[in-house]
Amino acid sequence: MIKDLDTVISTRVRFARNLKDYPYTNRLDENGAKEIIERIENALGDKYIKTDMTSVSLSHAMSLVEKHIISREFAKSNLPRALFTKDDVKLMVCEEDHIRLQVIKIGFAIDECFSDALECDNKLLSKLNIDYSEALGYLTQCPTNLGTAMRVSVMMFIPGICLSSKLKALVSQLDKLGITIRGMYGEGSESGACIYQISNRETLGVKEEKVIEKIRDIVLQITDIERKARNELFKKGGISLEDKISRAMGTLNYAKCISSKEFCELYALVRMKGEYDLEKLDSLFCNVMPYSLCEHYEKTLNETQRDIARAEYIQKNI
Amino acid sequence: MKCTRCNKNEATVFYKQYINGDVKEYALCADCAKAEELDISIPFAHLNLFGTSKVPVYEKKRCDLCGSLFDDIRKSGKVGCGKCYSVFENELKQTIASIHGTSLHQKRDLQAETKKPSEAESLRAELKAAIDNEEYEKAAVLRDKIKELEGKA
Repeated sequence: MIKDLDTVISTRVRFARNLKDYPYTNRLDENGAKEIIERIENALGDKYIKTDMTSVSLSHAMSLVEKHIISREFAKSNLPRALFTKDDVKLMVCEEDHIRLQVIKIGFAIDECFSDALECDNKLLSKLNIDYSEALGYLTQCPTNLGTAMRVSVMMFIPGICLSSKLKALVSQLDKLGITIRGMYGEGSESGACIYQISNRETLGVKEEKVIEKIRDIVLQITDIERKARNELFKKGGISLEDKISRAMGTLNYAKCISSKEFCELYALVRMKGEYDLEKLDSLFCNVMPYSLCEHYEKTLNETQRDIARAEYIQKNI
Repeated sequence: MKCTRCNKNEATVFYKQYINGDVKEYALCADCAKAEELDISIPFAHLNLFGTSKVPVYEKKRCDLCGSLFDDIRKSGKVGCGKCYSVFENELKQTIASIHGTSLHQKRDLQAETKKPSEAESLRAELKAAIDNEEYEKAAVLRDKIKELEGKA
């Protein structure tokens, strides 16, 4: 069952791992990268689907970035690199670290993500020689990830908090608790969609289970605040807010041109009201991003063409 | 909204810049954003984790696995390989402490680590898959194996 979809879009648990005796990707040559991919492929077995990223077009790779499956750096890197997929488990091989293992699930599914990630991690640990030290834990290219090398991020939809100007206070409180909050596509990427990513900062000196507990507690608290803020907003907003939301639905259903900025704002209004199937609305969100649209229509579209294609796509799929 | 630079095309790149309290807002079309060299993929300048002062004492020591000098790590902000963490232990200590404090790694609970399915359990899963795929010969072999394992237990 999908949980807390009104406030949580998706949950992700990520581990960074490196193979012992190989340089990290900033000093790795092509042959080294190929060897690493092969080793990991063998360790994972045949249940994982492999995508050789060097044979994928940049536009397709960027559409995977828009769907949060891979990182922007991974899409644009020049090294041989591969993506391995088995259901919700995805491994980027030769990203910043040799292995970025991540599990992404819809809604608030922190335990499910953690246990799937552990299962895959145990497999890797039992079959590969992973870089590890007693004092520093799992060794990573960037020292900020040392220790558990685990990042738990929860993509939250918080229009109630944003529209009632509570965001600033929330950001500073989270900061004191060692929690990072940022726009949906990473640092500095704010949009009108009111989507924010909450993640742990600590990796060294703290057990994975404790991090999971902490994030769970904080997400549930934010969910509570958000629901109250939303109720308050609907109470105060009355007919003028209802009107705004109805107009947003009208635009989504009948407009001929919709820019991505406009779409983000319409999405926030409509999703807040819960008018449509939320899961469908979220997948629509990714599919109308620039690269995903071009992929869908199988051609390069300029901005004006994209805005037309976006409106058309929304009306077919909403 | 029209692009504030050329006033011709529709603006699609919106960019807000805060420098020491000074706020500048741009609304540009894609061409003008390119011309202004706005790099929207890196909205923030990255601080160097290892500081920017020169550390001449360590310059000659090289990691024998990846060939990094400490200066390479300092400049790129990236550690060269796992061995660098022991070769440059002293040099990295301060940076690591300033990020994480002086704590040591905490292992995950054993329970989580040993959560692997038992042999019989995984055989049972294979058996189910074999039956689903109508591979009855394979299923028979698996069934016997499970019986044997459980007999031992």
